[in-house]
Amino acid sequence: MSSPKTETVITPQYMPAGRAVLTGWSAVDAFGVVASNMSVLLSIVRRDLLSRFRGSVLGRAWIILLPLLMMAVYTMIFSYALGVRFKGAGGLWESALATWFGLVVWQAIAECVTRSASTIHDNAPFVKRMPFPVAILPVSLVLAAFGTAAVSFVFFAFGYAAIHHQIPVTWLYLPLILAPLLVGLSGACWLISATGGLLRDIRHMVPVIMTLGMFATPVVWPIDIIPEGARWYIQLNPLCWFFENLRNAIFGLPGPDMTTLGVVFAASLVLWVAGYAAFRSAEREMRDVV
Amino acid sequence: MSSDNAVTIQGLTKTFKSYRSPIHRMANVLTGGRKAAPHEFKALKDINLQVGEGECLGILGPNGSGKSTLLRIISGTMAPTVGSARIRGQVAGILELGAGFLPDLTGRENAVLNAMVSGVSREEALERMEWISSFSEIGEFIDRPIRTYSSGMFVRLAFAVAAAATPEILVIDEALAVGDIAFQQKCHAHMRIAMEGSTRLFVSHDVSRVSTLCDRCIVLHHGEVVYDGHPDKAIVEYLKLSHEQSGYAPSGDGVEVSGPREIDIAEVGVRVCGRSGDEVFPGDEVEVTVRLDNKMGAETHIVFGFFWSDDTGQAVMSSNSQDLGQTILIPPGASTLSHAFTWPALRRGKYAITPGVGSLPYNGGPQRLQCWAHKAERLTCLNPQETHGLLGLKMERKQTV
Repeated sequence: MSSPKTETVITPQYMPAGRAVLTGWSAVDAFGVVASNMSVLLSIVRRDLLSRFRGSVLGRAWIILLPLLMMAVYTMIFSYALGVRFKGAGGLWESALATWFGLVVWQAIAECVTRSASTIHDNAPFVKRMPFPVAILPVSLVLAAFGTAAVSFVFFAFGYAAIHHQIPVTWLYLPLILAPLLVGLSGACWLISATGGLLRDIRHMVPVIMTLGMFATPVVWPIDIIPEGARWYIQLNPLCWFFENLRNAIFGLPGPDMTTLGVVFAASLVLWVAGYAAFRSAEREMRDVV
Repeated sequence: MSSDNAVTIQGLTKTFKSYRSPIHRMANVLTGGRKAAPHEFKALKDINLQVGEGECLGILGPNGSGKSTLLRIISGTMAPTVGSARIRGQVAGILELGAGFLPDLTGRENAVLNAMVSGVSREEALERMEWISSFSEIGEFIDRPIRTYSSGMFVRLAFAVAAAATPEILVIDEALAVGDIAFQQKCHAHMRIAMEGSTRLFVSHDVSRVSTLCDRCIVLHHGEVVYDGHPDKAIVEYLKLSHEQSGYAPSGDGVEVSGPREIDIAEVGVRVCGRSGDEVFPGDEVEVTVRLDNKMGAETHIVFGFFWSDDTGQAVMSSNSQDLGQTILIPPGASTLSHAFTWPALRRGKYAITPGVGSLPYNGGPQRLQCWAHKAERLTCLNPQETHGLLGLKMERKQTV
């Protein structure tokens, strides 16, 4: 064989990273691991989505149906029974739309956070039996969750157009607001999966926190219903900013303040790098534990 | 110096830490190791090993000797605590057949995604499918969800998927000891012929397979290499170790005995060529001695016999005094019987003897079974001749045209 052979030296510092070349600098490696292993990452997402609703009669229709069912319940309680109205959404139908949108986004967040807590154990064969870049697992969960959310969103867009007969130009803000959400969420998922990999209790805690979190975040209700004096308390929750601004963009209201957006973006990058660093420092330990 | 080796391992040590609880683990990690010191277990101790390109290395060792840890480090799924492993060439490991398969996906989807997850392009993964589906011989099941597979089909698919990778270095952990005989032989042949040029490292408890497949063999014990050399000698070392470890008593104690036991088998001894030992070569004289305890209170006509079974439990040969027309009369109380036979050219492996005794009533009725001493003694057959069946024959040339 004339082709030069790849040489791998496995030392105590060794960590499988797929096609990425690790530098030891988390700020660089966090991008390197994801970017160099993009094809592997996408096949993991594909594998996940393919198997998700296999064997059920309605199959992938559940992606659309689940948020719709939840929307019906929450709209009934908040908008119909309690008379809550969202900014820019006057009627009951518009409130239903706002609730639908909030639920789709929340479900995506809750799904990837919840699954992160157990992803290391769920994917034990990859961690234990294959030289696999484990760090892409939490990122794959974010992509899978928001991939299904995107499908839901397409249907939402049709629903929106049917009621409003037009799509406001402020929808162009959506990717700008979603980008830091995805980046920050990936960082959070790294952090949670590393903790969950070492401490199994996390997986029991996270679903409860996420259920409570849905009511503590303006997902199915607008922040205006909180008295002005107490509002800052809700706004401490970073997710609050995302939900308020995403909903504003959806209903054609003024877009986010650019300075705040910049700060949010910077913060999400910090979380992304910190999350990766935490995951990396726990990874070797996890490989021995799982 | 050893730049041509496919695998060069230097001073490799792996320590596992076990904590009293996950809380202690967290405490230890958070305090940078100052609090909650773990109990440490050395799975590998200062291993030095070189494997040449194209070599087939067998790794034997009793349970817990560090075999799997060594393979995990070589295949890159785990980092050592001290030392290094230098790997030249692309490695594929079968550390667990079907690792990462999802039960709801079809065989084809799993095979393609499994390849893609290990970094193969989609086109190449699809190209491999034809070979995988023909090698695995699971027919139309390739397009059904693998949760509907029998365990045999699952194993066939999993081995085919792993073998399709054609790596330069293949690391296999126990994976061949599965599937039916025909498929096992197919995998075996694939390993020997198609993978000829690749470096192969494999762990197995199946000693006959190790001796036919490997050029060289190491024996691990408590994380150390205790033997490195010819497979046949390695097998002997390994069997000695496993016997020690399981506390196996060569005769008498611990043997499971069944039957009404009015005539009891008190002790079983096997001698090879007049000496005690647990290795036998074809052509050796094997003497089987049993000490009987007759509790029937009178002289008794008995039938004595035994069978030898291989490590799958299959009886491969037997002998019986009644069938041979021999009459045996034993006094009440203790007596000793001795029989000898010539060991046939059985294939390599472990064989266990189960002697049995029955009594013949005075009125000439049918014999009554009294006692079986199950797998009372074991011999390891070291057949120098390669054998592809239970028995190796010596053929004689009669005619040349």
